[in-house]
Amino acid sequence: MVILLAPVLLTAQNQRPAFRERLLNARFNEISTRMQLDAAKAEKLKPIYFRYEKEKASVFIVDEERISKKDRENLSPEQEEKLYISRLERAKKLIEIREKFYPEFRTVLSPKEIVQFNRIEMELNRRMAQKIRKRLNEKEE
Amino acid sequence: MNSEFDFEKIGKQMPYKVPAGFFDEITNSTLEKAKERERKSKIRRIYTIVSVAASFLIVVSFAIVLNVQRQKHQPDNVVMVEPVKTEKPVVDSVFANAAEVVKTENEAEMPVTAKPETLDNLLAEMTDEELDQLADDLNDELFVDELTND
Repeated sequence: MVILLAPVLLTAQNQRPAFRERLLNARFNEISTRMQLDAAKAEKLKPIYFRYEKEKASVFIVDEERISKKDRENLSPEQEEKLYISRLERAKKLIEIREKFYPEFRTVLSPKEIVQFNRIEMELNRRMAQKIRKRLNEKEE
Repeated sequence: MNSEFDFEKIGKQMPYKVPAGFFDEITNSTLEKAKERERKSKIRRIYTIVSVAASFLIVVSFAIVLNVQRQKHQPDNVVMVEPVKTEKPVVDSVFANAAEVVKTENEAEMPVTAKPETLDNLLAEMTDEELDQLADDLNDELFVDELTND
């Protein structure tokens, strides 16, 4: 049965990481364009950025723990507290990853550029979150 | 009622009787049963083969459908360029020494030129469920961004 299911499982498994890679590529292209990095610098930065993002992805909430939008509105105080504490934990880990990767980023970027990099990433996150919210809200209406 | 059993009273009589023709029919009936068993086992084997083949077909069709769907979701900005046919001279080895017979061979190449994908295009490709998950991840990032940026 495993042999029979192998093509399906492989197709399903390959789809998601490939898409994540494309998403990361697009994010990196946008950041490096806005930072006006030259090709050599961008090439050096790219593998560091990919490793940084992959490590961050390991911290994000796992699918089994995700709460749907509907359920989120009816949480008990205990569930709300648990959610907040787990978000704080994840935030701590994300900051640790930023700290851990700082020396690596520093091999390519100046401290000023690292601050600029973080700011552009934040703007990108905001813009993406807005677009997602807009699309999901449009569907609901 | 007398419950005591006197073995002496039975003598040399057989206490059991064999039905008439039992030994004549035993061979036939045993052979019949064996044939029946073989027939059932053949049917079972056919059922097994058919069900394995059916499962295989289902799985293969499912994989094909998934693949077709994935191809449908290929980004619009990836341009598949028509194969470029170049004429490349090939010297036929048989005639190489006698005369220079030069043939031409159509060399098919499949160059794929891809414009860099934009985030907007990729977001448009994502399902609602995937967007919901990405929104969760972005919320975590924004939470950290707010804590760390001034």
